[in-house]
Amino acid sequence: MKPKRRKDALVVHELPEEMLVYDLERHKAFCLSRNIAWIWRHCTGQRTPGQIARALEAEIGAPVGEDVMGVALHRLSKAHLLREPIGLPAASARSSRRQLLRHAATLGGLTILAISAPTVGQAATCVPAGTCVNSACKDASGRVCCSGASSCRQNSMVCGTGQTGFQCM
Amino acid sequence: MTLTAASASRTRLGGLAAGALSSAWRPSPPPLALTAGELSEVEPVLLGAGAGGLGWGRIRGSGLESTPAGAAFHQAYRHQALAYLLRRTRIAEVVQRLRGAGIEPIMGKGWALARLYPEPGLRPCGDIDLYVGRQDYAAAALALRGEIGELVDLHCGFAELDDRDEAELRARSRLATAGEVTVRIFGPEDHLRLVALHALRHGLLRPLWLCDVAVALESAAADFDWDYFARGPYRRADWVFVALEAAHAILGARIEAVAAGRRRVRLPSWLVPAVLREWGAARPPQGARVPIADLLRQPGALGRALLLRWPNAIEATIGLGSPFNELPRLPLQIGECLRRTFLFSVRRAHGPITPAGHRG
Repeated sequence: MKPKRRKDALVVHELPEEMLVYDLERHKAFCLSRNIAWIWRHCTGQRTPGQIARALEAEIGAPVGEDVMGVALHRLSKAHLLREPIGLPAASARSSRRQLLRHAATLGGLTILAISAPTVGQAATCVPAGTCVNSACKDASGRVCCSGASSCRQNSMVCGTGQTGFQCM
Repeated sequence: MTLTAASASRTRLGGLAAGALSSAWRPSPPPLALTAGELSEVEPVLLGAGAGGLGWGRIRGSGLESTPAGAAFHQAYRHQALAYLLRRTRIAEVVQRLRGAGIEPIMGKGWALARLYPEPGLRPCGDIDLYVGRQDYAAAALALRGEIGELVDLHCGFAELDDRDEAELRARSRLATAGEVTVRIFGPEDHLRLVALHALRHGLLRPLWLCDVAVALESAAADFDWDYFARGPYRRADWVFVALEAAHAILGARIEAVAAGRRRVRLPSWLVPAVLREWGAARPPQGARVPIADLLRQPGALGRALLLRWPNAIEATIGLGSPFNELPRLPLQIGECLRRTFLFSVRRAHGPITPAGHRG
């Protein structure tokens, strides 16, 4: 198996300590810590996990077990960042989760963090014109249209059908 | 808690927010002088104001990154960094739709301001604010049907720059690259003026707006035309310089950038406390409040909504076209309240005054 990273429909932003990835198909955003970003970048479809692990060892000057590499690839796969899905390697079943995490931590972490919108920011009490709402002119959080509680109209072309087929005016 | 104590508490919180945001728009801001406890206090204020990314810019490298507030600011920064890149694509699509209809919009605020910050992620992109001449508004709204409101704020005319000639605004505008296309943005003089007047008109409600004034001020190049910037009705020019001085006094913006010899206005003594109190209160801005008309039959909610809308001293000064001086603001605030009530009544009787889709 030679893992290959997905390139289509992704927006990638590299920062000094991490990499931000936005999936345009699933509308999900991730933050890859430095080492897992390095692994993902080297999933070119030309190297086996073992070869990538050895290259990472050379890069960071610390041992990288195959178990840890397997977990990293599985996490990338679960985030739909690889072309082919990769399951958790059988070998990892032998290592305890705690051991794996400790090992991963020595590498500076192998985390993929989901990025969500700041929760307090944009704390609007109503929703602006153009927003898709339900037939009671309310969005999923129960906020009414800023233009008024009866100021939405059916617009299935934009908002789809059913409960979301209305749009604030 | 007494009213005085509540006011003091808000002013203190606003002061902490000002401390957290001081110089936050610069590539290498000085070390932050807040404790972890103070940062925690100010977290909801900054996040609520869309200044979480700037908060991150200020605390990274300070040892406060791993605090809960630090983690929240970091998430805001990441979110905004990606949003900045994604927004370029949407801007390109929207601008091309307008160009397809033969209309060349000018962009301001939002992304056009975010690009002045040293890195994506510090400032949220907000709406796509597009300005078109009144004669083009109907055609532009038609070209953008389905887009206006959700993401695009299409302005009929040039809002706070309505004392400028459209031809001059266009002649002074610049081109900026948004992904694959170039978009027209206001020239630096007009943009700073727009940002300053917009922030004042909304009572400097959000700390982010004063950071915008600071970043636009410090971005002024050597060829910035201060005479053109100050040109126009005397009072309005005065207001613009009040905004610059406020950015200097509250956030430490470098006012020396203002051309030598240009008059400096003196801030009235009530202004800085009023701004800090407002920041500490963290009121939602206009456009993010439930309309009064929907609350007329809910007395409790109506009372709260009216309190939320009580104009602060700055809003009242601008709303009534008054000067910033040491005279008491309460009469102006009452006057502004009456003016708004009158406008509300007229709107209720005759329908909206401003064209649909036009929001401040």
